[in-house]
Amino acid sequence: MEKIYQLIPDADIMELQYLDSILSGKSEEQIKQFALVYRSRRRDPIIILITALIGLFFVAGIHRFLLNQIGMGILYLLTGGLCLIGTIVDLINYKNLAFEYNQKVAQEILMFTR
Amino acid sequence: MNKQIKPVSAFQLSDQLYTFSPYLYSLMKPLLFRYEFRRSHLEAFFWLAALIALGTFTPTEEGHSTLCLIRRFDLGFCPGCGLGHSIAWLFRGNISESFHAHPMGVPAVIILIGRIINILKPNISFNRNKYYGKDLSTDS
Repeated sequence: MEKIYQLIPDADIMELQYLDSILSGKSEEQIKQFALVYRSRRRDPIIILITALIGLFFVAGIHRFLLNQIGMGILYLLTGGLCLIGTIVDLINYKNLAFEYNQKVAQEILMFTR
Repeated sequence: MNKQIKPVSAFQLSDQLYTFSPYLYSLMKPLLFRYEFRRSHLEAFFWLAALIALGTFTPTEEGHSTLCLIRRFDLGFCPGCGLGHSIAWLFRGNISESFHAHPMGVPAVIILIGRIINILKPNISFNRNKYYGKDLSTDS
């Protein structure tokens, strides 16, 4: 876990535990390769928070597009974030949303590093 | 994460049901599922609650307290106004009235249901021997 922490310093504890569980049994070289791709492809929760905040005042739904949820993005865009309620839900839930996306990314990368 | 997976009590109950009456069990079988709660599922439950609330809401009623924050604080134009009425009409089967209230009513319901399924999919299973991609038939 310490090794992964050094390679991906901006991950929080929940993400680190998840990465630790899926990277168990991988060699050091493989973990390094994984971290290199993962760091450039993961979404930082702060970016999700900022884009959701933009949705509160200007254009809603940017964070959903960033999380690759195109349907939800269009819905938010055309309804003003479900009348601001959806945006407020996402402001509360932004860490889980980012983590959900990052889990998918990690699984995708693992398929190629195997 | 080597978390011990315990069978949900519904399945233990279903075993008793099977010994009681195999026919009743075969009727109940599609309703039985294994589910484990995660904090990330709260979003799905929020959407589900919103859809149920709008489904029970009568769209013809006038003068109800408005949920829309933009209208409540008079912030100007709101692109989402009418969405609640639209979904409420849809649950009553009146699609033309639904489209008239807000054109995104039908896509909104489809997208939200898709999102709910997407969130819950990894932690729900209708196969009693498999859960979360793991085979449980081997351990007791």
